[in-house]
Amino acid sequence: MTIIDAIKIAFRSIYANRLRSILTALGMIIGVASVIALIAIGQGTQQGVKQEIMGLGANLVFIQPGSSTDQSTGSKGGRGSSTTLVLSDVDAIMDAEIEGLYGASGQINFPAQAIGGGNNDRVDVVAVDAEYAYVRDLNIEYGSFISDNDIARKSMNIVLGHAIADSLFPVGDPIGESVRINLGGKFGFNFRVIGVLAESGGQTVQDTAVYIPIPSLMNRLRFLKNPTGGTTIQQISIKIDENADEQVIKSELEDVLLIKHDVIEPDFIINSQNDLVNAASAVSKTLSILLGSIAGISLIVGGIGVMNIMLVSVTERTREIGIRRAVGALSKDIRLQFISEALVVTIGAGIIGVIVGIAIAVIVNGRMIAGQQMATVIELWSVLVAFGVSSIVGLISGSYPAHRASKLDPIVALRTD
Amino acid sequence: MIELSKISKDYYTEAGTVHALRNIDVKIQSGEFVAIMGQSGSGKSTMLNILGCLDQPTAGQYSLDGINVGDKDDTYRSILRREKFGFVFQSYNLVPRLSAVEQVELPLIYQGANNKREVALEALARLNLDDRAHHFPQQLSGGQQQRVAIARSLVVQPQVVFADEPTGALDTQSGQEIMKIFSDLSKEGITIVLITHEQHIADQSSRILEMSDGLVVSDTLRARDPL
Ligand SMILES: Nc1ncnc2c1ncn2[C@@H]1O[C@H](COP(=O)(O)OP(=O)(O)OP(=O)(O)O)[C@@H](O)[C@H]1O
Ligand SMILES: [Mg+2]
Repeated sequence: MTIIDAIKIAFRSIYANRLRSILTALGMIIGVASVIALIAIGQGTQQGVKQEIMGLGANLVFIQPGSSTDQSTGSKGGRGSSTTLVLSDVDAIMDAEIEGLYGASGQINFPAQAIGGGNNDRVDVVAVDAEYAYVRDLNIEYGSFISDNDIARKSMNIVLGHAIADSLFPVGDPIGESVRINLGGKFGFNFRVIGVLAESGGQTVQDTAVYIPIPSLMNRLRFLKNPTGGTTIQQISIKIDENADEQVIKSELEDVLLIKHDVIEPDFIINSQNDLVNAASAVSKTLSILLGSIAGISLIVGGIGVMNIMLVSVTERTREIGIRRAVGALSKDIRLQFISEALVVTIGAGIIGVIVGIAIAVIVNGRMIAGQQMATVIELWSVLVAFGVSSIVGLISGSYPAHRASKLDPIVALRTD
Repeated sequence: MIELSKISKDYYTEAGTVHALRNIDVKIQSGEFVAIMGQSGSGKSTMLNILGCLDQPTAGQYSLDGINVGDKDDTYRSILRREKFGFVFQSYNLVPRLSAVEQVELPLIYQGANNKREVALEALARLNLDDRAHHFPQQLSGGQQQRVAIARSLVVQPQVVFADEPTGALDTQSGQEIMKIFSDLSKEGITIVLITHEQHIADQSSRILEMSDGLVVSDTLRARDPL
């Protein structure tokens, strides 16, 4: 018997048991599709996080309050409860004149409501030093960024992120306009717009932020004061030479702050951009593998379904097998017939599963789901793995029933009803 | 030429051992038309299945054209069935969901033949089934189904056709038509071994083997009745 004949016979009997075949295939289709879709989501998230961190600007080092053993202050948010980092730490760092260190800026973030131009929007208020634009490579579209003068005068000037400028002042020039930053209830401050940032290109955080001078709020917001009287900050961003040795700079920074804080164990965490990328990648890689494994289990479950149906099929068609043996089918012809049938079902399911999986990944990409911006990256390897595993599962789950069919005694099979 | 010597077949059941065949010696020359008769349970089907290499004896020797088939494996016996034997059963044994022409194509598929459709249609035409080629078993009368089965047994141009009560499920009229086909085949030189309960059918053969309780109790060569 030729392979072509075996495949023809397989198609015939699959067609004859349409509903059963579809239900059997469904298990495999769901398995393959979910492997591809979930890995795409996992990879998309990983890539998104990586891009977001890299997009912060090249060659950055971040210092945040907290100790490395203190899990409450993770490396990402920088909104820990520790109050160990203060504004004067920035001066100490600059005074240390570390080789390869170009600039540093302190920063405090808090969410607020911005009202201006008759509109209002939710914003992230980022209170910063004048150095911040340089450190973080911010580009100004109109006007100017916060200057040393603004810092010195504790001016009530504000720079708007691109998206905020658009939403508050859809028409006309926002420069010189007044924007009220509301912290809740009637508690708020009026600022004057002095600049608008250029669109960041994908970095929504930067586009929906507004920037104000740190000292302007110092005396007005109690939570910015720490027990020693310094201004508590949440993060120091430091720009370094791209050719400089990151580790050397990190250890020098540590020395400066250990002395400044007069402590033995660091009460701060120093991370480079690479550290953050690595940490985030590790997390989302684990996530990808986890998602893929869960989906992989459904492939195995699907394979068990295929084996089950094939065993039923062999039992049902015992007499047919006897007839085929009587007219001259070899034992291996019968085996080939049933293996082909299992493979046609699983490979068919694999192909449909790949299409469905890719379709899900494409449809989900860029959509908001449960308040999350979904990003998917379809990996060729995930398609190959899903398809390959489903075919192998098909081969394995078809083998045993096919073996049983091929070992049936012709005369016994013929006598079966 | 088929030669059975000292062939026994035992079935081991919970109720005890059944000696279906006891030390049987039978020689069948090519071109013979052998009718096997005997009471139910006398071992006719058992012997036919062993002759057709569908079943294996418990003891004894089977040789086909001088070759001891007992030494050969399952594949060899399958190939014998595929290339040299044809089978016709009382219950037709057609595969459900295959059309008449597809039934006839089955042996050709396993032979790996090329022009399967063409050859199968020719075989059907020979049995006057051209107009039923694309009918399914359940759309055919018993006689037509049996003719499809005969076409399937003939499509590989076998040396021997084994028929186990081929007219058993048919009315007299269809039964006669089927017997006419076997007579014609016999005249063409195909060896036929056929089980029947009916004397008038056995009368169309050239030799009658009478079986009883696992033994061949009489072996009669006879002049054929003109049909
Ligand atoms: N698979 C089996 N297991 C046990 N005993 C069997 C089996 N097949 C046949 N027999 C026994 O072997 C004996 C011969 O059976 P066989 O089918 O050859 O009879 P037969 O002459 O063809 O009868 P019938 O005319 O009813 O078809 C019977 O006693 C039967 O019960
Ligand atoms: Mg019988």
